[in-house]
Amino acid sequence: MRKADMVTSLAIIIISGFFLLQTAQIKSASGAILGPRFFPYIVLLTIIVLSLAVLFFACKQTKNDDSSEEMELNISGKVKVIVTLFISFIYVLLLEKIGFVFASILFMSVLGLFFYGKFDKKAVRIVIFSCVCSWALFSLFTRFFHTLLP
Amino acid sequence: MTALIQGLIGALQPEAVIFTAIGTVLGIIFGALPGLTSTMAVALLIPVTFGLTPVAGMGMLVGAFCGGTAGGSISSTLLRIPGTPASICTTFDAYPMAQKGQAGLALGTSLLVSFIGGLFSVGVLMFVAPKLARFALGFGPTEYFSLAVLGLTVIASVSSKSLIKGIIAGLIGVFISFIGTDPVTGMVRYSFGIPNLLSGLNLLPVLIGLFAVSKALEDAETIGTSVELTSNKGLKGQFPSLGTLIKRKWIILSSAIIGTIVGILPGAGCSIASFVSYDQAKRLSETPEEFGKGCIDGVIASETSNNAVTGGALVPMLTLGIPGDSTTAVMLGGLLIHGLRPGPLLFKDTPEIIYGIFAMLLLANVFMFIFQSFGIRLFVKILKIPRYILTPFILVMCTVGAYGVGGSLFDVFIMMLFGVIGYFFNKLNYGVAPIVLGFILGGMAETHFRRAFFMYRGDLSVFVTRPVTLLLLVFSLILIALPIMRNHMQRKKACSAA
Repeated sequence: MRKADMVTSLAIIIISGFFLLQTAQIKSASGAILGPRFFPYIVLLTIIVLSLAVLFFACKQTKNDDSSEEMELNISGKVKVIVTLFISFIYVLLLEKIGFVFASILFMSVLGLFFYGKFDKKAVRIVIFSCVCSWALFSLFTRFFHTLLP
Repeated sequence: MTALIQGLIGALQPEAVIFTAIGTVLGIIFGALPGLTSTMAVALLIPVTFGLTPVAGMGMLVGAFCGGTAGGSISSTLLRIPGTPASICTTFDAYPMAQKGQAGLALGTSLLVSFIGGLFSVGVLMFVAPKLARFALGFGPTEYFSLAVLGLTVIASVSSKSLIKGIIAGLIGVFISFIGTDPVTGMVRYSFGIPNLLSGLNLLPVLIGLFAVSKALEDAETIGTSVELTSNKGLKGQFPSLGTLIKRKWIILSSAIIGTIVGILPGAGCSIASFVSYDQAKRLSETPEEFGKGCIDGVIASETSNNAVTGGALVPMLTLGIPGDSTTAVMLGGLLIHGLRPGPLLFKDTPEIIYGIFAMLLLANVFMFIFQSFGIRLFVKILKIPRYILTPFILVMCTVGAYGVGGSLFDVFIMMLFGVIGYFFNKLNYGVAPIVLGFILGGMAETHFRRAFFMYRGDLSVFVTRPVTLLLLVFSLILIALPIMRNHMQRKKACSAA
C-alpha cells in the first residue's frame, strides 16, 4: 500500500501541477480579486500540499518498516480488470459504428464467456441471454423511456 | 394542505405507483446481492427516469433507496455477508439465528421492523421538512455558502479509512466542478477547446462511473470465487409475535429515533445509525450477553434504524440541497436532471412534487413490506445469479445511462474514466463518495462565496455577523473536529494498551 500511496501521490501532484499552469491561462475579469482563478488556485495548492503529506508519511513508513505490507496482488483478478476495461473500450468505440444492439450482444457474450472460462451448455446460455437482454434493453429504453441510443 | 392533496393525487397516478413498485423490487435485488448497493441501484435507475414525470421518477429512486436498504438483510442472514454497509450489524445476530434454523424468523423480523422504522421516518420527514424549508427561505449567499461547507464536512465522516485521503478526493471533486463556464464571470475554465466541456461535466456519467462502473470492475476482479448459502430449504418469512414486539417496544422506538436523527445529520449514514442503535439496544436489553449469538434484539435494533435513515436523509437533501450521504447525493443528481433544484424554493414553487415524493416514500415502504413478505424465495434465488452474467449486464446498463443523458459518446468515455478513477480510489482508500460530494457542493460553495463577496463589497465579517451563517460554520467545524478527535483518542488508547 505504501508504494501505491507514493505513486498515487506523485501522480496527483503532477496532474495538479499541470492544472496549476493551465489556471494561469484562464482570462481574469478586470483584475477582480475573486476572479475565476481564485478558487482553482486554492483547491489545487491544497491538493498538492496534502498529497505531499501522504507522500511524506508513505516514505517515512517505508523507511521504518522494511517488511512493508504491499497492496494485495491478485494477478488473475488484475488481468480480469484489464481485460474488462479493454473489452469495454472496444464496445464504446463500436457503439455508434454497429449500433447498440449488435455491440451489446458482442460485448456481453465476449465478456461473459471470458469470465465463465469454458465453452459448454452454459456458454450457449450466456450468448442467448446477451441477445435477449440487448434487444430488450434497446426496445425498453427507446420505445418506452424515449431515451436516445445509437 | 392543497399541496398535500395535490401531491397525493400525483402519487396515486398509475405511472408513479408502478415505477415506485419497480424501483423497490430492483432496490431489494441490489441490496440483497453482496457488492451491489442501493447507491448503485439509484445511479443506474436515473436514466430510466428521464422519460417519466418527476414524481414517478423520484418514486422509482426512493423505492430503490428504501428497498436497497431493507434488502441488505437477506444476504446478511443467509450468507453472513452484509448486502449493504447498512446491514453490517444485522449480520452479527441474523446469521447465527439462521444457523440455529431460524432464518425465516430473522428475515421476517428484519422486514417488519424495517417497515416500522421506514414509516416512522416518513412521518418525521413530512413534519420537519416543510418547517425547515420555510425557515430556509430567508437564506442569502452567505448562508448558502456555509450550507455547502457543512455539506462538504460530510467528507470527514465518509472518509473512515483515511481522513487526509478523503479530503484530497473531496478537493478533486470540487476542482472537477470548476470545469466549464464560470457562473459568475462567464469565463471558460479547463475546456481545452472541447465543446462538450464548455458547460462542465455532466453529473450522471460521473455518478455512474464512480458508483457503478468502479463496483463492476471490483466485481470483475473477484469473479470465480463462490459463497455458501446457509440451508434455506422451505424458507418462509416468519413474523415475530405481537408479544415479542411489545416486549421490545423501547428498542424499536429508540432505534427508529436514532435512525431518523442520524439520517438528518449530514454524513452519518445508515451504517452509523445501525451501530449506534445496536449499542443502545444492548444497553436496553434484558439479555445483553446474548448479543452476537443470534439475539433477535440485535436484528430489531439494526434493521429498524437503518430503514429509519431513509426518511431522515431526505430532510437536508430536499430542504437545503445538501446530501447527507452518497445515496442522497446520487438522488440529488436525479432531481437536478429533472430540472428541479432541491432547496427551500422547491417547497415554495412546486409543493405538489415535494408532497408527491413524500407519498412515494410512504408507498415504497409498503411495497417493500409486501414484496419482501411474498417474494422472499425469489429474492433468495437471485442471490444465485452468476456474476459472469450480471457484471457485463451492469456495464451495458451503465453505458445506456451515460449515453442517454445527451446522446454523446463523450459522456460514455467520461463514465469509463471515472469508473477507473473510482476503482483505484476505492482500492487506495481515497473513496468515491468525497469526489461526488465535492463535485456537487464545490460549485455551490464557490458561486455563493463570490456572490456574498461582491454583494457585501469584500466585507468578510458577514460570515461571522449573520447568526445562521455563523452557526452553520461552527457546526461544520465541530463535524470536522469530531473524527479527528476520535482518531486521536483511539490512537492514544492503542498506545497506552501497548
